[in-house]
Amino acid sequence: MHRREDFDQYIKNKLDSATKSPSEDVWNRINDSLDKDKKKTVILWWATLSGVVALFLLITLISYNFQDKKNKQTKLTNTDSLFKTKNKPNLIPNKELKEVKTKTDTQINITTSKTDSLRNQEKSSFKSETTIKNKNTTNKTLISKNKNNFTKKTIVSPNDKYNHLSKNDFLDTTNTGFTMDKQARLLSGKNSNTIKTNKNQENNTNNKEKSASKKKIEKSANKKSNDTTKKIKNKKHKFFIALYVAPQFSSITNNGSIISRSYNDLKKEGLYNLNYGASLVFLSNNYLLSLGVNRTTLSYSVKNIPSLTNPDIQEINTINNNLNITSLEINSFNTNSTSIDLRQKIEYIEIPLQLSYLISNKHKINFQVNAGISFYYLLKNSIIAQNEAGKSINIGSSNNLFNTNIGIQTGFSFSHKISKRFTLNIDPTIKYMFKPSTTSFSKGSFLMFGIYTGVRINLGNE
Amino acid sequence: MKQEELIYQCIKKNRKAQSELFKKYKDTLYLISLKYCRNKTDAEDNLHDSFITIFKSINKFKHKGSFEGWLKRITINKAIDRYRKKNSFYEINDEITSSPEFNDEYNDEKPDITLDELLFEIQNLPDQYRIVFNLYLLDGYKHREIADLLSISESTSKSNFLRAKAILRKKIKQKLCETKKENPNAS
Repeated sequence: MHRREDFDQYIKNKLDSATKSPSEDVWNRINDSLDKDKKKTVILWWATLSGVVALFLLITLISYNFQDKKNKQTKLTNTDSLFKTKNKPNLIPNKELKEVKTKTDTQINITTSKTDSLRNQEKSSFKSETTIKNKNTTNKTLISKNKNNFTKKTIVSPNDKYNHLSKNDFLDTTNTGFTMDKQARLLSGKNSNTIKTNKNQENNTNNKEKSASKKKIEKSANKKSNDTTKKIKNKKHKFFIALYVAPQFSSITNNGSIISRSYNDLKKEGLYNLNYGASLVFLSNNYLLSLGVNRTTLSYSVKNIPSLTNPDIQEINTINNNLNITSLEINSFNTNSTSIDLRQKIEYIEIPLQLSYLISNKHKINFQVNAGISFYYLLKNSIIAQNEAGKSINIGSSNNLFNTNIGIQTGFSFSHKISKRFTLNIDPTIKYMFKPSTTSFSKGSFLMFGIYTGVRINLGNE
Repeated sequence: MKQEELIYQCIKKNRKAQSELFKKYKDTLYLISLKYCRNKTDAEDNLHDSFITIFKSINKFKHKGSFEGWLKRITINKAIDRYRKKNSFYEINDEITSSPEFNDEYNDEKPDITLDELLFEIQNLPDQYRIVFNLYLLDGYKHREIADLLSISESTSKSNFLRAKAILRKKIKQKLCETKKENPNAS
């Protein structure tokens, strides 16, 4: 005779002492599955990352091209207007300046060679003179020597005069309309008319003064134009690092639910979370392009669910049940509570790509409008039940969420320059994430409103 | 490698450590899978799914209870989910418990069957009976816990267990009779 206990014990003993091994194939399958998961994640990351980088580069390239054209136009108009206002001769554009520079260089070479040949001629004439007038008196030779000295002086003096000027000075004088022809004429005149050197010297000193004053004006004008170009350049290309935190309100649209179809028509409540992140900002003209990384948390609450067993959490296929809680814990949680709330918390890494337009940028407080897209990578999610007594219990997580998602965003931004390097930013932003769930019953999407507050640090030299 | 180091390396997705963990617990978890599943193929699939879940969520193990217990719970839950998805559990007619098979003093000869034969008979029980039978008799769950886990009433859990046991006894008896007929000299 065998009582129930005997039979139970027999079965228990039989199975407890047993050992069974699975086939070798099981580990191979597990190995393959783990490899596939790893590959999938890597491919997904690379695909998205390369997409984002390609988009960023494309926008930067377009922006650069657009800006280069504008730069050239502004440079020309700026320099023209600067000189026109001073009633000075027109400044020659860069290309023409280069041509003139090469011309002057060759002319300088020519003139020096000319003066050298003249010097040689003078020397030879002096030699012939001395040989002819060999028998002349010492007074005469003295006079001729003096003459020679004088001639030498007169020959060298124009060179000395122009030698002390740098090439740039020549360029400057050329720019002001002090043409090389005049200089050449001046030089040739001086070389041929050695006797008139005193007069010429006077003229030269006058000219020197005139050219010096002209040079001063030109230099200051050039300096100003260079400064403005630099300023324009500095103003147009700047990189910043922005750091921010954002209290963000998130809610689910269409009164939907990710957890269960039966929760679709129950009351939902949006919740606040704190997000934070950093971004690299590129300023070009009045446009700002930023690429960032945020830690974003979204959460909402399903209100007044009759109890955890209606519908039973264990029966919902879209939930991976928390294996660390027992049915007993769920039962004690349900005791003395007519209804419970389910709070779903989803954490993402967000990569926002945003384009902004500076509406006002001349004051201390500036204003800009923003629009962009965001890529979301699911980190983790949890479903927390809360009973009327305020007790919370983690019941598991949703298994029907997309690992990656896309959203759009828009908003505006106030910035206050607190120093040359630091700017304080406040960006009220609305974001919308497209359908986050893989299941057809989940009709809700996420709508978020956050106030992104932080500092922008200028990476360039002020 | 010590258990804690093994867990830490598995969190870091070290494939060698994962392989070591598999080797260490494969037999225990495979036997659980065999008891809860319909056949060997299902059991191997369940073992595969369980280990994938274990490796993915090993970072969630909080070192509060036994690690082996945690692994067993995952394997059991996987098996329950497997059959829950295919056919949700149902309430059965309690009248069946009035059958004479449920008499505690039901005379029976001492069963003597092999492990494979016993497993075969358990696997051939209806899904819900098999799961209740395993949870109650072999894994020490209480009827109230089983009722919560499978979303059935406590009385259904009890009757499911008795029914499962009755079927099993009957099958084992049949088996013994067949053996006796084949080998009349066997004691």
